[in-house]
Amino acid sequence: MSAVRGTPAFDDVIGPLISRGYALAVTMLNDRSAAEDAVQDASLKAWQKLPSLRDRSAIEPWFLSIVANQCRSMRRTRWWSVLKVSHLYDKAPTRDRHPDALDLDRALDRLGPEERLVLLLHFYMDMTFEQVANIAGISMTAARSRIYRALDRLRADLEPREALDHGRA
Amino acid sequence: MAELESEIRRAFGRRLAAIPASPDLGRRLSAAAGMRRPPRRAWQAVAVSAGLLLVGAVTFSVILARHGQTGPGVTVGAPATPTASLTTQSSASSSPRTSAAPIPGIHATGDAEFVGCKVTSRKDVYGNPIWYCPLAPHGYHYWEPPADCCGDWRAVEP
Repeated sequence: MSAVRGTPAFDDVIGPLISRGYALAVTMLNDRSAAEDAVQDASLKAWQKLPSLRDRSAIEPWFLSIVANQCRSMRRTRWWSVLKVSHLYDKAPTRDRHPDALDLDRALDRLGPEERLVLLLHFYMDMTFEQVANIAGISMTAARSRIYRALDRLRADLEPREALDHGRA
Repeated sequence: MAELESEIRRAFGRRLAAIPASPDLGRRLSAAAGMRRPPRRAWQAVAVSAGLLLVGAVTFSVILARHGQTGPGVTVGAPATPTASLTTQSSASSSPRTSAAPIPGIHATGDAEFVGCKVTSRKDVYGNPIWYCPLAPHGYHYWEPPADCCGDWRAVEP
């Protein structure tokens, strides 16, 4: 879709950000349809608020912060609190995965959505602490400490199995 | 540490591969956005607002100008010197006047405040038209003088 009369086209501006927005949403919500709903609502909000964005080069962190806020809003709703969210990797086929990978996947699932969010942004999307802080809506210090705390929790979750494996060896 | 980080990266890759987005997600979003109006830049909104304000101001001033005007040919002429006399008008005529024609003798008093008086569409309780005199010092509006009036009109509220 091309721009019409100088107006930016949705596909040109928001389109390239959808896949990363979806990755963020599915990381926070662990549910495809909920993640797609969150991305849809966030995309429309971003589209409407686009003229207020001064620095177009910062559009990705700006868009991802809208998606993160939308995910938080969805998690706060009553239906979400009573809905039993299906565990992602309980349904997914596991035969092709290494047991260590399975442990890490489950350990990630046991983290809170905000901890998964900062890990995704920093380690998967290669964002800086500052960008992570902007998207998560916290200070840079808090973002850094949240990332390290999440790493500590992951290690603590994985250590018992590693110790068991070493004992067997 | 680095090993854990790379494992985390791979784990997120697996998670996203396990729950891929619907193939038509982008198309759905594009369609949903297309149903809404495209965003406008701030200067466009300001220009539209300014244009509407300008149109409103012009309309208001035109309405105001038309409201202030009276019917055609009702402006009382302003002779250079007072020539007519109120006594020339019928002294028996005390009924309410409805004619928009200039009142003879209006300048008989020689008062400058009656120069350029125009009859308006307003009426008093007796049906007499109310006149508008732009040079009058107080209120600009006067009852129409009775036929035998010597020019001492009574001011009414504007």
